[in-house]
Amino acid sequence: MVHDLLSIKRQLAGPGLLMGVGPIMTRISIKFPSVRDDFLHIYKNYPLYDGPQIIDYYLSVHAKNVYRRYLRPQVTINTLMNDDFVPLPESMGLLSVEMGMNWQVAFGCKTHVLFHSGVVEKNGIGLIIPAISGSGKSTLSAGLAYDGWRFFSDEFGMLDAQTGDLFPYPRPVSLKNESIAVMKDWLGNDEPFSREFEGTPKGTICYLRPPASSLEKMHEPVKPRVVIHPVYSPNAKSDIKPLTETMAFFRLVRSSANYGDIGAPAFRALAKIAKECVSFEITYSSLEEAIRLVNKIIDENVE
Amino acid sequence: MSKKNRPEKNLDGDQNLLLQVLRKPQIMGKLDTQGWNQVLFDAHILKLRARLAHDAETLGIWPALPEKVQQILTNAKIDTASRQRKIMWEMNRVGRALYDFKEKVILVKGAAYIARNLRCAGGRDSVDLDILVAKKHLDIVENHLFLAGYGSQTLDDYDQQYYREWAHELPPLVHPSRLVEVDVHHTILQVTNKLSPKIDLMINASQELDGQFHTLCNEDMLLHSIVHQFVDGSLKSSLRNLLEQHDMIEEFGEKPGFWTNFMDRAEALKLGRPVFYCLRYCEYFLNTSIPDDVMVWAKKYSPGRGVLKLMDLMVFRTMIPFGVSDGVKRSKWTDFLSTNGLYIRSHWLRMPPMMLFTHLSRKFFRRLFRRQT
Repeated sequence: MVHDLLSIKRQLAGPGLLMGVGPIMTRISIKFPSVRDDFLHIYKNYPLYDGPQIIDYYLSVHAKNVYRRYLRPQVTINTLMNDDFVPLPESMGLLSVEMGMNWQVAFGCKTHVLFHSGVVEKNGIGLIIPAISGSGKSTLSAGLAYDGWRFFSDEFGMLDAQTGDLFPYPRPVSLKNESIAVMKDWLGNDEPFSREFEGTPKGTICYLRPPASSLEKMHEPVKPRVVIHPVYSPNAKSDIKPLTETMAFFRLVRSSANYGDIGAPAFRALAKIAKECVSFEITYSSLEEAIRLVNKIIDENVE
Repeated sequence: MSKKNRPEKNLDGDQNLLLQVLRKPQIMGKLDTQGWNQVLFDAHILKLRARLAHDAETLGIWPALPEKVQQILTNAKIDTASRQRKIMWEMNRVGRALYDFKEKVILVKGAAYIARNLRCAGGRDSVDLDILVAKKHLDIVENHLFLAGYGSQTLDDYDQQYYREWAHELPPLVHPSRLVEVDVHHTILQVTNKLSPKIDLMINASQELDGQFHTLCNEDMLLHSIVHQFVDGSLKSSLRNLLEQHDMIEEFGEKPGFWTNFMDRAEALKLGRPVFYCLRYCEYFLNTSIPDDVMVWAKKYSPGRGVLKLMDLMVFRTMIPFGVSDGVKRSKWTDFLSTNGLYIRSHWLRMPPMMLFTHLSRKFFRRLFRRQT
């Protein structure tokens, strides 16, 4: 592993820096110094390698030409995977990096069943939090991660279909709009946050680095035990609703990005989760409330 | 081809590690990390990772591969398997849409290889379903597919007209709930191409597959692949097409009478020149076993020395893309010229000069206009 900042920057600017997150090794090169700084801040504490490693994905973050590098700087990315991303202004470069890495995993990873979900773990209990964007799964995953749980991911649940293990893929949490202030409040410390990127298509975006203790254990899988589908609704009364096995199964299928590609093994793996895990839907109006509901479910249903 | 007839200079490509692996998959068991990165990178660009997985499994060396390599190749393997499954399902759906159409529906390209379980289907990344019907049946087939819910992808009038008047296929059809592209061909080359093989001969010789679909006979299947790559395609990064011909030659070549039939067929369909290129480059890149007498026969169709030199130069430079660091120094401008040279060549063959001029200028202005809006 490399630790010396100058050599890290040199690799990142030149041939590319090797970074391992969970089971995935990416070689990233970034031609913009300001984007490199944003990147290195949010990916502090992540394992970087300079020894020989077999590489999953290549991500190049560059300017299309000299004009786009210096006069009206614009960040273009190449994932080598049929991407067609709109270039972003240099100030939003980190978003491009994150989009590129998400794209590579979302379309490239078939060894694991992918859920569009947050995943956390405590006392050997794996909790899957599947949800669509806007339901608050990122905030809930991050809230739990900074409340004693181990953070696996806020966006990519990775399940080994053969063993039934969930694998961590602890990339930075992507927070949007109101949830940024909520999390800054929750942590009481701005250091693990990125800059706030205003005026993106999704409003304001801010990234949050997962707790260092979660990153240290990024290769330790866990068995799923609980599935909670969160529904955020500002004025609603909080509520816990158990899901039937059938409903739990179909909700998981719907949240999986590569279920159809993997086929039969994915079907069996999801059926097993639906059968063996407890599955609930919760409705909540604040992060404190959501965490209280999660703990209640765990206390009442898991020994 | 005897040694002395092979292109002598080491013209790039030859040393490429992926090529070495494709020629002799056993060496996968001995690659180091750097070697793997080169091979995996090039194989990704050329869509050949699933092929490597397939080769490793067939040879029984899969367990010897590093765990990380297994993980990466498994991604490709699952992806390709799922696409092949989708294509077979699409074939089923097309079969259903054409249930009362009693004329020949011939599967071509990927679908045919998969359906006939040919060697070249192993780990082949296929995306579309291609079928071939007699031109006089195009309308009725298209209507059947429309009735079953297929639709033309949005194309403007010029595109529609271009396809219908000059192309060898209908504008691509897609069923909205499955999104697999179905290409309905009526011949194997653009109507305006300088070569225009007699498609009736191919349709007549096709083989029945399962009561509903047909495939081309072995000789024609190989010829079609050759035409697709060396006449109609852009040739750039087309190693996997060459590999498909290599596989077919190795598989069909063992059958008695194949080569005699093949040579007759190539002559009857006037495809000597592209066949010559195929055999030359298969031998050069993949050490394909081609009988000497076939090679001597094919030489009759070689272009003159100047043209051949140019063709060699361009093909050697574009068949394999830049690797991560394969240690071969290549200048960018020669690659640029080769790539564009081959692009121009494929268009030159595709239509007469005046038509090409109007077609390209129309496309140019349309692009210009789109950019402004």
